[in-house]
Amino acid sequence: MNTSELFSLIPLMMVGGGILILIPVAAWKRNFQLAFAISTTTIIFDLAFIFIKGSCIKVDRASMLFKTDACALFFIGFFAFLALGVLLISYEYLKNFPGNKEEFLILILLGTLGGMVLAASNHFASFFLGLEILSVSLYGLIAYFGRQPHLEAGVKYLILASASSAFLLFGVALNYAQCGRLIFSGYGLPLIFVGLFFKLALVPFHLWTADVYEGAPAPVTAFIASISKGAVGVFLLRYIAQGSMNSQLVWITIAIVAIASMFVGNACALLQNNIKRILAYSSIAHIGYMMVIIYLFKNYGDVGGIRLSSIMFFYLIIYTLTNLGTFGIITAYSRWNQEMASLDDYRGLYWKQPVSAMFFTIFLFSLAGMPLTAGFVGKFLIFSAGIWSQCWWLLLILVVNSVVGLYYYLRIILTMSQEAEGRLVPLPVRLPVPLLISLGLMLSAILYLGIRPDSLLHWIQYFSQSLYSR
Amino acid sequence: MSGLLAFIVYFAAVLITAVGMIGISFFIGQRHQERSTGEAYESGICSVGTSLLRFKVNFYHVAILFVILDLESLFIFIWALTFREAGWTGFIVMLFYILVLLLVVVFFWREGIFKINKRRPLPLHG
Repeated sequence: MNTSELFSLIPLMMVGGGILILIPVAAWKRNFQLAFAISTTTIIFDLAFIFIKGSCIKVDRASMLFKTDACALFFIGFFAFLALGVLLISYEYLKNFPGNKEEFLILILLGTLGGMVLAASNHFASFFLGLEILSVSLYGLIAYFGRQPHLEAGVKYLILASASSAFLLFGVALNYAQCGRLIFSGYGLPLIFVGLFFKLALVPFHLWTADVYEGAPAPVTAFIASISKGAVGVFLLRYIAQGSMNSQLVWITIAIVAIASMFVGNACALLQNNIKRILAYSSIAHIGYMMVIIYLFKNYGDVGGIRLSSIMFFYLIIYTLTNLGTFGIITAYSRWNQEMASLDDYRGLYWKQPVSAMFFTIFLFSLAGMPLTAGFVGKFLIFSAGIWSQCWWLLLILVVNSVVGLYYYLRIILTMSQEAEGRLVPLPVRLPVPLLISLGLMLSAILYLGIRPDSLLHWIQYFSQSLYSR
Repeated sequence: MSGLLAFIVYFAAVLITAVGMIGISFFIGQRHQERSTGEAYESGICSVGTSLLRFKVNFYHVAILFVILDLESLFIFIWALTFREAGWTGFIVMLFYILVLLLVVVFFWREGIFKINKRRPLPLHG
């Protein structure tokens, strides 16, 4: 390993270094403000390094394990940005917790590091390591506050995620048995897909989603919905771009999974009365839309692949940003000992807290795919890709599901605009500043990308090419 | 497809064996209900007390820490096998690795996990 390779790994090492500083701080001098400052500075330095010095990184792969091409660097920076958002929304949530607060920040940074490793992985060893860092820190995060619903969600996630990891590891072992190496290839693909689909919550493996989203503390749910899903999505595209998927059966499976995810996600979301559960089922449907793009990869080689992967990346970025914003609003009204997740709690939010209700409405519009928000551009790009590939039947299912999805997003907005009768939930008078910064960042990103999507698409198309360069 | 067929036959054989073993013993096996049928078999000694004992969680902490550090030291062992090939780079990487492990042990020590005899209330909230 030479100096330039070491230099290209600095974005990953910085986050690791931040964790190593935080551990002695937590051991010797417990101070939440100090620990929070250290963790946010780490993330900001990481972002600044990628932004300023990212173009100086010339090597495409840092070692056998990591790729540090434009795609990996962009997503390392993007996950740092999301982690900053999660840290900012969790400040007020954590502040009055009587137990140890510093470890929560360490676990958030660790999970982010896992997501970054996943985005940069080029080898099954680094991939599995990243996935496990991500999920093990999630077990801790979900059950962190030790209340009954948290523990229940944590144990559910622990058991199911370790079972899916076992499947995935078996797929990796089959790959090794066939190739004698741990590079990405098409062997053992069904079992690897089981592991990835579980993390993405696609339909046959979606049962954990609603329970874990509901039981987990609100900032942790934001973390699962943004960084955890985003990292696995990025990896899925990298895997598809490199591994050879020439079996017809795989494509049929992907189509079935996509259709089932869209229908099950949207249908179940219609019946829920808990906002976190609605968003959980809507996330299943959204990942189903993304699987439609993956299915379209079937007919195209590298050139079409670049176009399709840039669409998928765009949708993934929009989706994670919007979800972080949505769960940020829920976090604003929740504390570690009380979650405000029932739909009734939001009755009359427009009259009591017009600003945050406006924020919430725009985030929900973006999820539903209304024009002027980034969600519309994402949906539009998927439709255009479907028309371009002339995949009409899948497109029809997508349209039907988008219309069904509109219903439950509008239902939340309608509930917020109804007048609260009798039942008045005490709301905080002013939203805390860190949370407002985070929500403002997400909101401006969504609105800006909704009006000027070409600014981001230009970048994405550039780094999607690096995905296919061998 | 022939590979799949073999798999189907194998799976069916597994299923038939499992169902057969349980089913045959269910239908033609003997059933009896005596005074001490339901009692736990403790090598001829009457069982005493309940199995729902309470363990100190401190013991669990030390045990899990032992297992984790044992696993980590396995990696040091692998490095020792390739000591000459790994060279100075491997040495520096290993120093860093051991430093991280040390940091974790220090963290647990400061948290008071090694004080087995000290009675500490469980940090449960709500």
